[in-house]
Amino acid sequence: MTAPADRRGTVPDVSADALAPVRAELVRAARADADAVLARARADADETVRTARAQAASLLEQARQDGVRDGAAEVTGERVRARQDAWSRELAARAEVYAELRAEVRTRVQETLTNDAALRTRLRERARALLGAPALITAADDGGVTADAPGRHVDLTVHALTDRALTRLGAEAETLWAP
Amino acid sequence: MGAMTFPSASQRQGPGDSGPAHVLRVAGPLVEIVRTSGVAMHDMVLLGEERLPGEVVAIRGDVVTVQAYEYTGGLAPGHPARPRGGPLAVRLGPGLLGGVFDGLLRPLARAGDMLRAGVRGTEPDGRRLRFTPGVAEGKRVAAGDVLGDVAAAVPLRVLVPPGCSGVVGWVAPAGDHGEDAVVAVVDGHEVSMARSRPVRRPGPVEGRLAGGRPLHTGQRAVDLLFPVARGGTVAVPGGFGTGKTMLLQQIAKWCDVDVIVYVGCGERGNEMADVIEELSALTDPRTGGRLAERTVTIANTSNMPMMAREASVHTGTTVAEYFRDMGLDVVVIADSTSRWAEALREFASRMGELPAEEGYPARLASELAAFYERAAEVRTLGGATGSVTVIGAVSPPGGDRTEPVTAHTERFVRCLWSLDRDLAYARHYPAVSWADSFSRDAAAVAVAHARAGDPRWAERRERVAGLLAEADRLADLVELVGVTALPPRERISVLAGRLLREGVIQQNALSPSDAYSTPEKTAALVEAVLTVIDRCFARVDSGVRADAVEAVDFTPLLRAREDAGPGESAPVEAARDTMLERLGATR
Amino acid sequence: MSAPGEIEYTRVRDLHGPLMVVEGVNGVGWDEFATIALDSGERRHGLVLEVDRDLAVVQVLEDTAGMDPGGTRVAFSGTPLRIPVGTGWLGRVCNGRGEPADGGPPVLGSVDAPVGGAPINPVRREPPTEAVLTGVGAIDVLTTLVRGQKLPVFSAAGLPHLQLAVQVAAQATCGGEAFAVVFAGMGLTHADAAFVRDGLAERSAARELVLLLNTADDPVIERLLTPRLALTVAEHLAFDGGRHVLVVMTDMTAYSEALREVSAARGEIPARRAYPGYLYSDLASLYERCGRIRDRPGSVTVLPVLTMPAGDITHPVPDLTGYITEGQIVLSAEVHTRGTYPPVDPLGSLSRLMRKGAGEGRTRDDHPPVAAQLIAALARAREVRELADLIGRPALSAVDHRYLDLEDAFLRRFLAQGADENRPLDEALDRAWEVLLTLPPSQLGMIPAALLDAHRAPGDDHPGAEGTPP
Repeated sequence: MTAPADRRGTVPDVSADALAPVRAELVRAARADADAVLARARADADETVRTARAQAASLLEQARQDGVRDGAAEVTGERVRARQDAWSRELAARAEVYAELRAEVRTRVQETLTNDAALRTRLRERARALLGAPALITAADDGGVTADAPGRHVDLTVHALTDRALTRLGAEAETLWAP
Repeated sequence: MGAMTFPSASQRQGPGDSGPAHVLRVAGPLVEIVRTSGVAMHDMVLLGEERLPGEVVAIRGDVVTVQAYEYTGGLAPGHPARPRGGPLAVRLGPGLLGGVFDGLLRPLARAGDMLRAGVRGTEPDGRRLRFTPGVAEGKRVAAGDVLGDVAAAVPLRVLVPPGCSGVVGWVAPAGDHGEDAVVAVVDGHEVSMARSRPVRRPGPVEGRLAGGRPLHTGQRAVDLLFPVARGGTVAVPGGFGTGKTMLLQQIAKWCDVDVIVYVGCGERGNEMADVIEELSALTDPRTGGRLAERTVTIANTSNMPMMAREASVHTGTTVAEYFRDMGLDVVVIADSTSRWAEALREFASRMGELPAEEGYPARLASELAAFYERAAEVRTLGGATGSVTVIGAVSPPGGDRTEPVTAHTERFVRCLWSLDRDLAYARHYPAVSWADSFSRDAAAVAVAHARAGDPRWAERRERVAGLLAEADRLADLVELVGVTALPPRERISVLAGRLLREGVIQQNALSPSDAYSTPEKTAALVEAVLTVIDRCFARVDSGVRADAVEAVDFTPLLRAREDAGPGESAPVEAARDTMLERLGATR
Repeated sequence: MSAPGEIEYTRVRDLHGPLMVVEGVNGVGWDEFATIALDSGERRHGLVLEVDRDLAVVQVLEDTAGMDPGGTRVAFSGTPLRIPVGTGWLGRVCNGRGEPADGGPPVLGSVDAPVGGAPINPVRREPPTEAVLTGVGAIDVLTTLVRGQKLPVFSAAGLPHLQLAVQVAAQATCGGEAFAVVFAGMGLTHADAAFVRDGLAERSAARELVLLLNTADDPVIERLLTPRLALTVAEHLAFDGGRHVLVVMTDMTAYSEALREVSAARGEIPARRAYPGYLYSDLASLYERCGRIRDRPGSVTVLPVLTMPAGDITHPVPDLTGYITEGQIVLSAEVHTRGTYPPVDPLGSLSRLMRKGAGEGRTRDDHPPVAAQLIAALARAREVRELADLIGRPALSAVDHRYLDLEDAFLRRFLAQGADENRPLDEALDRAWEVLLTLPPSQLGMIPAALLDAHRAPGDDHPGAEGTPP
């Protein structure tokens, strides 16, 4: 389950701001990688189906010779298994693509934060805006910040920003594997 | 058109005007808000930016508790709450006829495919109706007097509203008007066809009448054995699959009243869709138009907000009273009051009320009593006679009749039509049990029948009830020893039970000739079957063997109910004569 | 002002059972979705059950076990839970919260929808009239499932209801129109979950299936979410995507127990057998999401499966389900003991919408009379059997013996079916005829004479009551 999309986002999230210009490009870049992974998976899957079909044909031939119904059932079973197998490979490939996208986003967020001092400042301002001036702001290991006030916490680490960016990307990520 | 009305704050100026308030607590339909001046019990409140309707149910110190009528997802402490300065009320007008509404009387026809929370449907639908004045300008009138007529499937009237009297300053000429257009001015008050009424207070009447005019439902099992008088109350308890909804729908289609208010309260959506479709397809035997045109349907299915279900039965009775005040006979059918009671329980539990039996609040009994008490035959303020009959389905959990809703309801109603699982499983429709049902209106109805020229009604009823009871008693014995072990007269009693059950009590709801039965046809059928039964007894008394009588083919008699049209008695008499002939031939 | 979800609240006041009380919250609405982060890095999820000034009571889907109030942060989403919907779900296998369990990426969608759904306007409902064929003869002929209907399977422990549910989910079709199955499993053992996955693998690979599986060792409270996800996905596939969707939900008793657990933890006043008083409305909020909508293609048909504790049909879960649904398919321990699959009890089962979904132009013109006559004959056969138990078989009349033969033929020739046998309706109806014709024609009064003549084999002119017992 993905987190629910933001329905009320009247105040733009800093991470969204930062990523808006790079988002499309990001998807494009990821798409190239994705194509390779998917092509490999699909080739594998095709191969499986081809093998299955060949096997099925020989089984069928066998069955014809034996005049046995079981053979036909086995043929169907073999085809179904091949189809399932192909679909599992496809899903695994999509997962791989998605993980790569996440890594890519993460790197980009990190790079942007490293290179853009103004953005780092805005991140801190954002934390204060959310929790109030007395909030305690701590630099996170991965480049972002966290902030704390009594009873409340704000997580603006690269990890959290990446998650939110991906959530915002939503179905756009599907274009990675859409035919 | 009927719709929830929002009294403007100016309608009641409290010591301080109803000011802004905000939400403090939300737990499902229970919402607490900050108390502001001028908020009274049962006042309407609009909650949040979506303006979800709610009603004040408790005021404690600085906190006002509101029962919300919509899904409150997303409503948060700090959100605005707007008291409306008046009680939950509905708009009543001639346009209600033929409409389908939710529990707050908001029209569903214009509400979209999916019902999302929020205010909707308060605007009239712009229909124009023909008004004919019935009073001269300058005449002195009082509350309840007729100002004019409105053309509809049943003739409707515009009345002087309660609490208003004086001289008619102006009355509109005959013509087409919108519901909200002023059609008369009485003592300076503008009167239109539609008016607003609070739902929880019974409308004023001149007085209650003793009643006794029978309500013909067209279902022989009830008209014959457990009749209800106009203004009476009926409960129909039955487990699932006993045909409750089927029976209620048949009554909605066939009973001889002017207006039917059908309240689907916490029941199935597909079933509701079916009712709506069937009513609009059926030709009204009384007017020749569509039956839907004199029906008001309130649909609050089981997945619609629970608290609106609580309001829906009151809304239904308020609509019924509106038509009753015009001197019409109205029946309110509520399916099912158990779901309404569950809504009461749910909210009481959230309010932290002390539970009585099975988690129901202690006030369950008085709430049920108050609901059924709104049924009556009355003399209206204008001096006409009108009635509201209430028929409420009860769905006892696990078929257990000792559960609180069934047990309490039985105490408050005049008639009980108890549905029997065994009859229902044997595909015997209507599955009204003759052993577990009762009618306290029977004596009064008997008098009315006698006055209408049928003095033998009470006697027939008594004989049928007696024969059925005797057959039931013997059935237990037959199971033990077999019918052949019984003496001849007892064997005929068993046969008599079967002839009555299959030839009179049972009905075919899908057959055009048998779905409904006029009082004349019912009387003819009963007379015929009783005559045949008497002849059977006479044959065995004269020495004919019981199995010879049992072996007679009674098919013509048993088919008479289907062979004769709803109001026909000649085919019934023919079937009787055939039977008497066949019995005469037994040796 | 903050965007929802950005602030995490850290002051957890109470933890007990599945409930967590958070202090110091601001602007959190009722029924909002919450994401809970633990110091360990683990993520949990919750729903807001109550908000009272600055307190929020959260029902934790994964339970509160192992949670430390000092190391817990809660973020609220700003709205009741919404999930992405669309064809991205087809072919996917997920856990009870909708997270992938098939090695794929998260399910994405360009549109999202609230999992609570919204009631279908009763005026906009189209009464159901066309069949969903399941390939199970007993269901298709005797309790025809109609598109837009809700028809539960009432079973008991030890009966093959899961097998039947999987068979129906694997075989069901809607006369060649676009079709999909959403299968929600709640409280399944791992063996059962594996059985479901295997049994439906073909449909899954064909991208006609959405599988949501909450296993017995998965969080109990998560089960409250599973059917809602399933229905939300189904509604979109049906009413926006134009598919006919069959939603199988099993086991609704496990679901109701989760509801009872939360209710008990909240200290709510219990009704029957300690189930909450709102069980009826809660179940209705699921079952009533079936239907068809005027002027829209597609339909949602719901097939809930539930086990009756101790086989008791008056238990609140089957009882309230029976009040909401449009009939029921009852499985019988007796038929099961006789070794017949599927062990459908023909007399206890009923499809209230069958009248509209079967017959000429829908299934086959002989279907309604054949079904009615078969049920009537089986009812008579049961009486005869009871009589035979009392007075002995030899004392039965010749016709009575024919009824016993009919019952036997019914079990062997009609009811019995392989768990992977997809039986066409025509074949099932022909078998019903074969069973009926064990009786002499005089006993088949519910079938129009013309139909009867057309189906009687020549030379099959059995004498009636005069026949001698075999």
